[in-house]
Amino acid sequence: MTASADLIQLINKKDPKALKQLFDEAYPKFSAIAMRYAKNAAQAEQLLHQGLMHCFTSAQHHRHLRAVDFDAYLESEFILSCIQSIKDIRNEYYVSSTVHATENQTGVYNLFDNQEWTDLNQVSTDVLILSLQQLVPSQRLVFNLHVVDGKSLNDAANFLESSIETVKSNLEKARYHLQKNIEKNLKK
Amino acid sequence: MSGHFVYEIDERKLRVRLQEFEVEPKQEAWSNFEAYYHSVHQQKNDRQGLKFNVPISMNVLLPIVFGGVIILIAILLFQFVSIKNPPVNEAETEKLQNPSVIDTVPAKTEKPLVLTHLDSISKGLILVQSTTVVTQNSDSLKPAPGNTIETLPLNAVKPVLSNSVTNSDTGRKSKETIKENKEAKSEKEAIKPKKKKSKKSSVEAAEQDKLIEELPGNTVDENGASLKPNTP
Repeated sequence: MTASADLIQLINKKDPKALKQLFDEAYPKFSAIAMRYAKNAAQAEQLLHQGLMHCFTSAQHHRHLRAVDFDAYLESEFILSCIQSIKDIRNEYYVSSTVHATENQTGVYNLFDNQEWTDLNQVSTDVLILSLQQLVPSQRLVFNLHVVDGKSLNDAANFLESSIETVKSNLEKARYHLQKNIEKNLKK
Repeated sequence: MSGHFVYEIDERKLRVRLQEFEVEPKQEAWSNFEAYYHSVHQQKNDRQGLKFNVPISMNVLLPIVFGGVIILIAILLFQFVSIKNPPVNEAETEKLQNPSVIDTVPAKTEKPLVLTHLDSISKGLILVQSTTVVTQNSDSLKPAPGNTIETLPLNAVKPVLSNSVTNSDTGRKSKETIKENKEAKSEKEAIKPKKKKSKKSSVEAAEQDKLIEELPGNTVDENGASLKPNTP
């Protein structure tokens, strides 16, 4: 994001152009973040809208923001908004694991039957995002927070309001399922 | 997890790739966000319209509240504590204004002397009537020179009368006489405190008998018992 100082001035003046400028500057980055936190494109759009609104209103209340920290501040606020939005969807958050368990399997998948060697680190970003979206919300949140966004396990536990043991367990499951999802999506 | 599972994803590379990932901007995205923003803003305005703000500053509100509390406490205290002067007796005020006035005996309203009708009593019964008359000290009734004292009413003299009827043959008292005696006793007990019997009581009884004989309308037979009065 560039021209953060101008954006801060516009927000402080409550200029109607501030929202448009914030959207233009933050959309590419925030949309990518929303894509990996959400389960699909529709939910990603919803998270983007809510996150941008949250960032705009919080920036209006904090008038002493500096241009240096503005980008990091907006990003952290957006991530917090995404986490809160997903946690608010309680039904999906808790029941989704059972939904995945009853999903009809297209075929028996055995990791050792596949003789072809695939480099998982050379997978396209779309496949990677899709594999992340297929994770259970609790595992997806932990993986995004700890692995991608670089938060510590304690911070992740605080954000998710759960114990560290739960976070560690969910992280291990997320790693296992992510690799399986990538291999499955590569085969399709 | 399976023991054969080997995690092959390099998380550093994954992190870099995902952090560098950006979505290309679209015109539709802005229009969608604008519609969402206006809908949310309209909902906020609707909610704000329902709010009712009273522009009263705390400098005005707090003294009013404290004043109300103080008044309430004062009302509560006035309910428990009465400042009014107690009512003064008129007799005492008269005494204070004119100390020469002598205390007069307050008139007591007592039941007048009622003679028992002996018609209902059978012929075999003999009337025995004993009357006790208690008079006030005559000295207190004497008028002092220069003072105007009204004469005492007749009611001031309190007669105490007890009638008893006994059967000459059996020596038993009839039911009516027993009831009347009980009532008379209860009245005496209510009026006078209990005192020990003394020898004087027998002397007083003899005097009372004499007084009964002297009363008009009472006749005494040879044995000393009073007979039925002559009634038309």
